[in-house]
Amino acid sequence: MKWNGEKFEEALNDDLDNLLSQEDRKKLRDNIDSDANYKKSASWYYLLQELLREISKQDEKQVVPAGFTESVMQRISNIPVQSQPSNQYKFYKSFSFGLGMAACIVGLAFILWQPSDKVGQSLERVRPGTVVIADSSSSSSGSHIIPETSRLKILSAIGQVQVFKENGFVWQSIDRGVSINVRDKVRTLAGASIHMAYEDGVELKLKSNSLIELENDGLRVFHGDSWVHVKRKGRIFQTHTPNLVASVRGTIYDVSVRYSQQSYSEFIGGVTNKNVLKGTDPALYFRDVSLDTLNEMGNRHFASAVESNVRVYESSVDVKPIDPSTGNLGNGLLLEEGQQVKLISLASSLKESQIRNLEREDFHYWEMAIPEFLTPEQNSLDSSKGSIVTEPRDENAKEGSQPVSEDVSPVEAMNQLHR
Amino acid sequence: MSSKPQSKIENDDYKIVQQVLRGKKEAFAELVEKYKKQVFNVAYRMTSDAEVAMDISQEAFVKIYKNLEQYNPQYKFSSWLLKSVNNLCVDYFRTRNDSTASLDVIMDSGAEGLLSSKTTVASSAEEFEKSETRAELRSILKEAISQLPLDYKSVVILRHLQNLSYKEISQILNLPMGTIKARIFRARKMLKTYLERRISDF
Repeated sequence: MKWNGEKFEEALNDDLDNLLSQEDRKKLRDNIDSDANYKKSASWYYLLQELLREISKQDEKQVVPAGFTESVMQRISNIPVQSQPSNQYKFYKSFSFGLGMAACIVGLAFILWQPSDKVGQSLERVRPGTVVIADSSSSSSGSHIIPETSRLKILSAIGQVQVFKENGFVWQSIDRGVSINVRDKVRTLAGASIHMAYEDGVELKLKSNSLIELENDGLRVFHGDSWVHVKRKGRIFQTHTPNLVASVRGTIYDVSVRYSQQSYSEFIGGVTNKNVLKGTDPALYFRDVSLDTLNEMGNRHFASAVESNVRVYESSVDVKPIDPSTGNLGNGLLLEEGQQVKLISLASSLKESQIRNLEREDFHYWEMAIPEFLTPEQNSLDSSKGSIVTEPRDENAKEGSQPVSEDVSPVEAMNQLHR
Repeated sequence: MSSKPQSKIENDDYKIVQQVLRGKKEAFAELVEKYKKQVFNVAYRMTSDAEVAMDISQEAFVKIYKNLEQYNPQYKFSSWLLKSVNNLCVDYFRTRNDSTASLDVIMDSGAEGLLSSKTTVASSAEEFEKSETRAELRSILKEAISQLPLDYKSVVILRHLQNLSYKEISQILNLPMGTIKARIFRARKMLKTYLERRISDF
């Protein structure tokens, strides 16, 4: 029986992976023998496979530059090991000594201790601009300039707040004493929130169903609502979303990220080409956020286009879109106190007409005092002019009001696009 | 979930990790010796630059050392290391702003589209094996790998040059196995197309 091209290629790939049964392999051979195009295609694939094997064998003979181990050992000589083996591994020891029921209990405790998630997450991210690689002036024993991770102070937390350590394998709940450091990811599950502070006093709040990654000079928001108070004037802080960057030098603002309206494939398609600058290529932006992780945000509907909203509560914020054609930052806006801008999907520039005024509800949402400039009268007046666009800040209400094109997460949509 | 190491090799690695965590720092050299070639090879194939690969490889070991207490023996130590290497490589390309390379053209236009646009495509691989030495073919293929977009390059290196299973690659890249399989499928197609095109140019 002759296969169509798609089935043929699939079987061919399975054959390369040695996944075909004897029967299917025979069918594949029959197809190859019966069609000249299939035969030609197969011959290239098999040649490719052979060449890859040969390169692999060559690599096995590769000699690592001399002094490698010594150099690593020298570099770690002054680094203390963080701690003694954790209880987790003492538990493991119990297993190995076969302590029967006790071990089972410990095993159960271990399961409960680690919230489930995909195996593996990002190791340390070397921030753009802080790395010197292949610099002729750098030595092999320390050519990477990587800032040490600093710890954030937890000011308050409600509900399930979890951390994915930069070198971690699982999400861990902060109520088990896990610290939060720069370069960790933090997520708040349904009904949860957290208020924390960087070592230099920058305060950060997250509402429920939010997922961010902490950086020294900012954060990357994957989903949800983040609020930032940069107290020290001149302190540079940037909030990255998939479609914009909000930069400040001391202010209070929030950034929300949702996905709605347009197809996420369209969004991805617009930025796939040559768009790694600033780390905003979606493939990189979401590279270590699993589908499950996003789905666990409690919102199954955030397929489609990204939607970022920046609100400024104090001073000003420089907001620039990611230009989909270049990946560079496009023409932005300087948002003043009391203003907000929403960017749906991608754009190469932001326009003044996109600016809206904040409402009292925005301040309420973050439990902030209502400023004098936002009196009820003014609020009402502005509304009558139609200059205020009220966005429900309650996540469920907001999601319910938006058109939903498909129940696919951004990551899955991205993967589908790649496929 | 059990934290029990899965095999003797992983058990040995776990014992070494335990020794280091108890203060026997020099035991870490055993892990470096054991995995340095694999780590360096992956970094080298990813970056195509020995000096950068050396830096990234060393950095990967230092990072692992700094976070050794977080090692979970349920997973291979080598997977943890390669995850570190892969992420450092991604960061490296991020700083250079060139993770998408020329083979994107093939990906964007579709391998078949590119093929059909060629008038002198090789009729089969065999006839070119005769005229090209294997070394030349390997050289062309290495060039093709180096030009793959990062997502595809990493799966090809881990699958074909490191001979890792889909499961291991899935753990290293933190992606579903279906995605890994799809990427390998597409990467092979890109490499095949590149080979055909390059060889037909001769």
